[in-house]
Amino acid sequence: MIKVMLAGNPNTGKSVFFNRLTGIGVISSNYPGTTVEILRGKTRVDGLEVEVLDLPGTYSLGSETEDQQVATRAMLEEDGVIVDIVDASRLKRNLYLTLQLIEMGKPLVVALNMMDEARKRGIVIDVAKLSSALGVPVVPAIAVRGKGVREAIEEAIKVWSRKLPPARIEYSQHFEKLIKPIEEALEEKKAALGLKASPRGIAIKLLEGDMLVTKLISEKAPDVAELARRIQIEASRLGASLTVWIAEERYKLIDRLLKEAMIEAPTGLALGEKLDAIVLSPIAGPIALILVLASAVLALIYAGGLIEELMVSAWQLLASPLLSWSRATLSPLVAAAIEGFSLGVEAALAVAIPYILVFYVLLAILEDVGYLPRVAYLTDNLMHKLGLHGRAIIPLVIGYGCNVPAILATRTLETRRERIIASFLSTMVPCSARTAVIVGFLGSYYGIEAAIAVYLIDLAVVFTSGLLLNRLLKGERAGLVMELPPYRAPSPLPIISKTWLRFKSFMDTALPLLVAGSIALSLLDYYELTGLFSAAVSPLIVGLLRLPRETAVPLLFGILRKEMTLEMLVVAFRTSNLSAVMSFQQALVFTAVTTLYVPCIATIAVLIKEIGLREAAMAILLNILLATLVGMLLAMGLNL
Amino acid sequence: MLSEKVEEYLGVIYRLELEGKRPRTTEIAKMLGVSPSSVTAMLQRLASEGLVEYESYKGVKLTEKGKKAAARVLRRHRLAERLLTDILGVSLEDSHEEACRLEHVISLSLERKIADKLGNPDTCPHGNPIPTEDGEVAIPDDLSLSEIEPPAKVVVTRLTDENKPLLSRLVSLGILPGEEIQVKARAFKGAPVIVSVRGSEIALGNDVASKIRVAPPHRRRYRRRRGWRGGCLD
Repeated sequence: MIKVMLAGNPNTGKSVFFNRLTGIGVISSNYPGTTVEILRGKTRVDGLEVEVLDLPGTYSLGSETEDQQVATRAMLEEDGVIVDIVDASRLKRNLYLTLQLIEMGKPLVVALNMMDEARKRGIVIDVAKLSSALGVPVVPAIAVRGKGVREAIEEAIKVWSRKLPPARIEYSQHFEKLIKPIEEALEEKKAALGLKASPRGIAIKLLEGDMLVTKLISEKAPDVAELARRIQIEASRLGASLTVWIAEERYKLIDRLLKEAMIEAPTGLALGEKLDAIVLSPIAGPIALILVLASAVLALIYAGGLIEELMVSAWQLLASPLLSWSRATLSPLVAAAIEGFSLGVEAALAVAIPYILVFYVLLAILEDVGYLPRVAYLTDNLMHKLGLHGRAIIPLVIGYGCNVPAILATRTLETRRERIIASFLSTMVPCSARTAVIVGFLGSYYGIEAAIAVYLIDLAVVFTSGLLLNRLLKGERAGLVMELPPYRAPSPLPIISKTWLRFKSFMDTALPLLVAGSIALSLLDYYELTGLFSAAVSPLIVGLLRLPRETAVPLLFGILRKEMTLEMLVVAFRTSNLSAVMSFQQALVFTAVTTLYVPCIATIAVLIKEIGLREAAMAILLNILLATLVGMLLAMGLNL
Repeated sequence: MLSEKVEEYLGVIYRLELEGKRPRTTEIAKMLGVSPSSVTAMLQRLASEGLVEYESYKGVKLTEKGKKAAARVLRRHRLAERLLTDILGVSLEDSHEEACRLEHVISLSLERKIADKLGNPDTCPHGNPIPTEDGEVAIPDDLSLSEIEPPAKVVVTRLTDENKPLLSRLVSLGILPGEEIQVKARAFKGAPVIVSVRGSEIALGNDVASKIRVAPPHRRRYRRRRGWRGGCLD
């Protein structure tokens, strides 16, 4: 089977390309040895089966973030042909990655995407000249309209079957002199090293001081690594930072070849720039931000509520005969298990599908249009106070849907310190399930003001913990360096595919835990083990938080599924008229504690995977402490 | 001979001054990882020794004497880095930290011997100039990107950061010495600045922008100046 790897800068329409080729039913799995998920799909070209790999979008082959490392490792470890997707309207920058890919010596085709956008910006590209200057085939494309996608892949298959590496691109003589000895030394050991990239590509990465490649070569061929180190130092005697020097070489080459192959006519102010003048301005910008977020929340509550009603009534139609049958005929133990199962499915239908799915659709639209980077811009200063930078707002926003993908989204942050802070703060963002408790319990029984109060308390807690963590955690900080992609009209295919992938990863990780948890709870209840627990924690619940003793069990079950706390309250008090058994103050304390105390089990699992056991344990401990503290303060403040 | 602590303070103040800033107590405290009150106390001591001019709330400025002393610390630091990388085989990444310790314990005669042995190099392994024994160092006159009022067209002269990941990220987006960039907008003071580079709009946080030095477009020749191809200032 032929392996085609899609590489390219972020925002070049890479995912559209991928979806056009493989359809929606793709597998996303972790790249070996990392936590970065990459997409794999299959397609057929001229009767041949082709595996398509979607590498993470990156500006350069480096090892600064895990995403970048995956792209770099694919170059070193995988056999296959590369389709490099470049944005034709931003060639001057996009070709920087192209040159690095060519250096790696794998068969390669450039897909010149967004030709329509380039034309609009007054850019005319001579495809034949570009192709001969780069020494690789260049295929023009407009992927959103399906143009050029097949052609690019067919060209890739051709290049692959001819086993044709790209022509060698020469840099300045001066620089070539530095590369040559390392390249030759690597050439000699090529077989022993077993690397799939060209010696030249590896030599340049060594000179750049790339962490990943340097580590690899130091292990496998220490003498070559030492040679590279000596050459680095020699170059530094000339007063040169090699990172900058190599970049200069590549950009000089790009400018030279584009002088021949591209004409750029100046155009007026684009519509997007006019829009940015408003969206990014100091007063209108934040107002627009609040309006956008508020309408997203309204859309979520309205559309989600509608779907929820439909699904729950449909499920009850199906389940209630089953339940009455099982209660009547089966043993009580099995009946309890079946009831737990039914409750679990119902919860999934009531919360997961309506709210999480709708949330992901909204998020994908905001993402596709290009608004999310603007949000990051507007919040950069605020996020700095939390030890983060603007881009970290994105995981936090995602957290309102579900904390699991939020924590996964912190992977694009640069330093471990930021990832830990952002992951921890994400665990306290009220996700859909918590929204069900805040709005469905507090909001509907005690008024919407109370629900808003909990949201504000939560925001305050998130902000204060960020401030604290920023002071406490040592480590490197990274600043905001982020491309503001042009605004684009949303196109259905990438939105559907993104929504589906996120939703699928939720279903895979959270749903099984959710249903299994429900069954376990029913069984615990059946054996009446829950009483023991509530007796054990009642000093805390009753003494400190001034809550009724019955709330202990719902809080325990909230660890499995946050929205379960609401259902369990009904069970524990044996009434659905909750406002009769809990005062407004108690409900407020209960909801605030539920929101903060421990992330659900699925979030805990992903937290351990992403930031490590020790840090995850600390984070959960901190969650419990914060929740208790906030609950106590509220109880005291409300004179409970 | 000055105490190690004094030298450390002078080094930090000098570095901030080379970046074109007037160092403030809070900034110095952050860089050294100490409390602002102990910085204030130290600055008062430095002022009484005539090494700095210090007015609370206005920041601090090295006197001629202070500048000379600081340049000498910097010279010893960068010579030590050279010694470590060229002769002892220490890696570029580790050389800075080791040199931070060595810079305080090298005597004048040892310093001369090291310089002699190395053939009186002009630059440190990161590409930055080594001050002469008289404390002379070439400081190009450029501004930090965070000080530029948009809209404006400027040329990058150098990147004053030795943090490799940041350097790599900037160059992969086309922000490197010699490159012309357009400063397009900044919502308010301290907000990220939006620049247009190679056909893309990039938002740079204020802290990042302050590490990018720029000059008006006609002063392009900076980029060919030896030793200022980027890298650290220590």
